[in-house]
Amino acid sequence: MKITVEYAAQAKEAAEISFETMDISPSSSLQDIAEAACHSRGEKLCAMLLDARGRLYRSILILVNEAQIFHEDALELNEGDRLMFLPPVSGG
Amino acid sequence: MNSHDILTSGQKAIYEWQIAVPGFGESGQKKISHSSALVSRVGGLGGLVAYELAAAGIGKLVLYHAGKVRESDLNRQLLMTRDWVGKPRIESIERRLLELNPDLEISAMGKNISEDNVADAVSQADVVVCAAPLFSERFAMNNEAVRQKKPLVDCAMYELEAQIMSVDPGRSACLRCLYPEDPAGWKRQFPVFGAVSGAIGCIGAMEAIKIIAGLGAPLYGTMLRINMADMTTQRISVRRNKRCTVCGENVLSS
Repeated sequence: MKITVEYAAQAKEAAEISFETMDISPSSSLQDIAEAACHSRGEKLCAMLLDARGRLYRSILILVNEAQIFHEDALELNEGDRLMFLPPVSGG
Repeated sequence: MNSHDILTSGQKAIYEWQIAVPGFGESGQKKISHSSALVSRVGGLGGLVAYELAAAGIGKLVLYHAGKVRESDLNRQLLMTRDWVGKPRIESIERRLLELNPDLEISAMGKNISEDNVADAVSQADVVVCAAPLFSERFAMNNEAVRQKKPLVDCAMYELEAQIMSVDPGRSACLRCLYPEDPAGWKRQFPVFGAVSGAIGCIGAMEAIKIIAGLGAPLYGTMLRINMADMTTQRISVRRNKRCTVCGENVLSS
């Protein structure tokens, strides 16, 4: 199943792209997708998304299409969905 | 009839164009004129919030911003001027706002929001506008606004991206609902244009005006994201987290 994984703000800088198409299993968890993104984009994105134990930081906001999802939600994705990793953004 | 019930002829002349906005009118202008907003910080983003609120005739601004003007502030912090480099930012902020609106009451503090001062700062305001760079300040304002049940407008930016949402305490998602843990791996300095911070600052000011005047539909439960690279916008539905440590059910009901 193909989905679009989007990287915003500092995740975009770390990934060096703003989105990519990813082929995932329908049963993939959020953690699985974060690890796949990490594998795809390398060390800088890994440091942005995953802690020392490889767990997805809970401070990363996850958007599916136009809605926030909680990390503990069961992930229900369909072909063509867009999932965004959005790290916190601030002012200044 | 007390002074709250009337607009002076001078106020009517200055605010004529916004008084003409349907649903706002003289009653909306009276509300603005007798309301206060906390804005912190007052840099590239908050400076535009404060400037637009001053222009709209808000009664009082409570402003917190530490430090001295640096050259690197000047691409976006429009309340700072080149002749003020090396001098306190808060003095430049106050001077520029009073040039625009000499009727404005300002409580100007040359320090940033902290756990020590946030309760007093929020208590002086009818609405809180969060425009600070550090998450310790942002969470302090969020937490205190929720505790005092004051509406909050949260504005943020990165490069050509900007985002904004408003918080109706106990009714819509707060900042902690979105970010249950403190950010990790976040960098203090980031790339941004002044036009990006200014644009989202102006939208933040409009949110504050809407909330005060009861105009339109504030961004409660909605994060508006703008990508100015291609001028796309997204309205993201954001939800309260029942387990939120700031506004969760167990917290607000205790």
